Amino acid sequence: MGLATSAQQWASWNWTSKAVDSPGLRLSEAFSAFAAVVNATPGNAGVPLSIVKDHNSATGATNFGYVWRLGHPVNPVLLSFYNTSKVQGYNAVSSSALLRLGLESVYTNDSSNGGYGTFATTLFSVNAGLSHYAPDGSPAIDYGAMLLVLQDTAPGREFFCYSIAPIGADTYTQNHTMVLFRSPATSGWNVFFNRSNAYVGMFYSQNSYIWNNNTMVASSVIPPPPTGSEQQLIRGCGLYATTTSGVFAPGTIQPRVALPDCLWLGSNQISDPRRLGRAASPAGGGTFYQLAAAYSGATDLWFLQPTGTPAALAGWSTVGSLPWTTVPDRLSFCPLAPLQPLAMGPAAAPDFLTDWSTVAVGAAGVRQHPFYAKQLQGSDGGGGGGRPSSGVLWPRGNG
Amino acid sequence: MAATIRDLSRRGDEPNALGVLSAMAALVDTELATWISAANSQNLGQLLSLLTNSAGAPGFLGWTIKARLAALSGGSPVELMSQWVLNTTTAAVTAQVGLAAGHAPAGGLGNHGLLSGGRGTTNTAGTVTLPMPIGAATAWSLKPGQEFFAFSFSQHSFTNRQALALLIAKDVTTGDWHLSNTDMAAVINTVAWSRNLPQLLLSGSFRQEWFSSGPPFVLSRPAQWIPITPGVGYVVPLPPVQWWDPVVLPEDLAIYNRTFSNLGYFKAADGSEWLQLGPARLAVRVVNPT
Repeated sequence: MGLATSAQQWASWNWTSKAVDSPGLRLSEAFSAFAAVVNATPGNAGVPLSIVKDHNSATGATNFGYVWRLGHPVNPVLLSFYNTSKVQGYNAVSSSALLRLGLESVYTNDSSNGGYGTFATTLFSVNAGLSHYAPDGSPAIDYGAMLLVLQDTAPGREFFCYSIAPIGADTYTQNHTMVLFRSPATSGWNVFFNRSNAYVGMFYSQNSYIWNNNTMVASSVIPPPPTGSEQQLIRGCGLYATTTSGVFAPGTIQPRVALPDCLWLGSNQISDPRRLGRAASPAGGGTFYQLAAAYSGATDLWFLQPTGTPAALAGWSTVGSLPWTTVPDRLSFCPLAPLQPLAMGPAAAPDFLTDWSTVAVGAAGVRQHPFYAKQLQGSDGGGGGGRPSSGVLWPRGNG
Repeated sequence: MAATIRDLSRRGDEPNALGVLSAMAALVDTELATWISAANSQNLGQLLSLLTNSAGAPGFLGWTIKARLAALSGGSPVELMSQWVLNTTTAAVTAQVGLAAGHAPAGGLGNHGLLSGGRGTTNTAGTVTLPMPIGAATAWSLKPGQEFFAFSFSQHSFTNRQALALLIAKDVTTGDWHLSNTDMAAVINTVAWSRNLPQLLLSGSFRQEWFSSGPPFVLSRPAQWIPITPGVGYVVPLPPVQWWDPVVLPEDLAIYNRTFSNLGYFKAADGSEWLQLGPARLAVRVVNPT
């Protein structure tokens, strides 16, 4: 198993449609097919995916989206996303959709919230814009758009990614990408959500959540992808949560929660086009496609599709058939060397137990500083090569 | 396998810092020559040369090093150079890296000559007049494929009196040597050769987990450089879409996000222990994991 990709495009896109061939139900179809495969994997017995609601659940003319169940042996979570208006959503103020993550145990499956149910409390709720680039959107500018699905069902590294992007020339409208992925380091499905538009500094948002101590927590991306005018994309980033216990606790060895291998993050401040770009890999063997593009300090999101990548879904088109624009110059790609687990330091430093700064020599006494203590053990003590025979700093009086 | 370290820290009871620095530099001269000889003997396709050491340039204190790689450019071996030189009169520190072709033997810095091009800084950050102790250490490994030699020192713990004066290390990806140093204020200068492009690769920063030097503190491996794509938006003609292989440092080196903490020390939860070298986050493993 490996990466498989599928694509669809609509000359007149309409998110608020219940037609079988509309974007919303096509997305459900793709997610169902993925869930059926990964749920059958023994390692996923405790974390089955299922669809609670789709576009058919919409009760009004405005709210369309989904509720997906992210199974978990302790705390099953529901991921809900639906649009809240038909505003085109080209900036943070006019964000027109809501992303909610909440425990299944506090969810009421009713017709509230446009048909997508009620959470007594949410773990996270983000006013997460979805550009409603449909003929009845406001303002209606370009309303052709595409839906892209990437997936891999390889046990332990499963992921499902969909991306919605307008295909017209309008740079205000948003690209929107959702990634669900497994990691050997976490107990459930992790979530990475990215949206942006390409207009100068207008809008960008990235939200990600991972499992820690059987709880979903907000996270950030490390290493930080290149930003600004660096014009470089890197592979090998992961997610990290600032927590004081669990996998990221101070004083532990912490495994990486790596994003899917096909994703490349970085900066693209000055290339044109700044969205829907395509570049043949300079290393050969595949093509890079741009899922999200943004200016300023925002993260560009690309994926590398190796030559010969199979189609995931019958009846869908290939990624290459979409209207990408070739980016000929400026960008560079630099994969990270595989990263080792992180050694977490103390919560505050120096703590004189695991971390000593230079000034700690004076603070705790030189013999308590491990570096000097080793040297003072003798000429070959503890990996040290010994010290000069005279004139040394510590201890005073030695020569 | 943990690196070998040697403490070169010295008392400050001489009349001025220069006496202390000179004694320290003489020890580095010796250790560097010994290590280079051993490193060359197990890397016959490449050649490291110590062009000028501290003893060889009156009025200056420092090292000019050339690395001839197995990689070819225009049919000739690529030659990289690093220069870290303290003027013992003015206290100016010149830290520069680049292609050896940019070296003018009579261009300045006494017998060191002057390296231009590439990447570097000159500032007047050394202290040569006041009596002052120094913390200093060398660290090295001769494990094949993972060889490196590093030397750092600090005159005090402020943010402008620490330097990683020497870092000679394998690029683990290609097996080529690469050279790096910092000035006294944590500005990194690194030169390597990108075989896949092929072209010179200059860097001023590690790929780090965390920009902040505050918590969370993390020690991350492997250490790798961020290749600069110099002024990519303004280069005429524009460079085509490129692929850079990462430049990866040997396994005994890591990044720990405390800055200006030369000779700081960290014990990781796996039993490994790490000594910080220089002001710019580099740490060297001195004890293996248990």
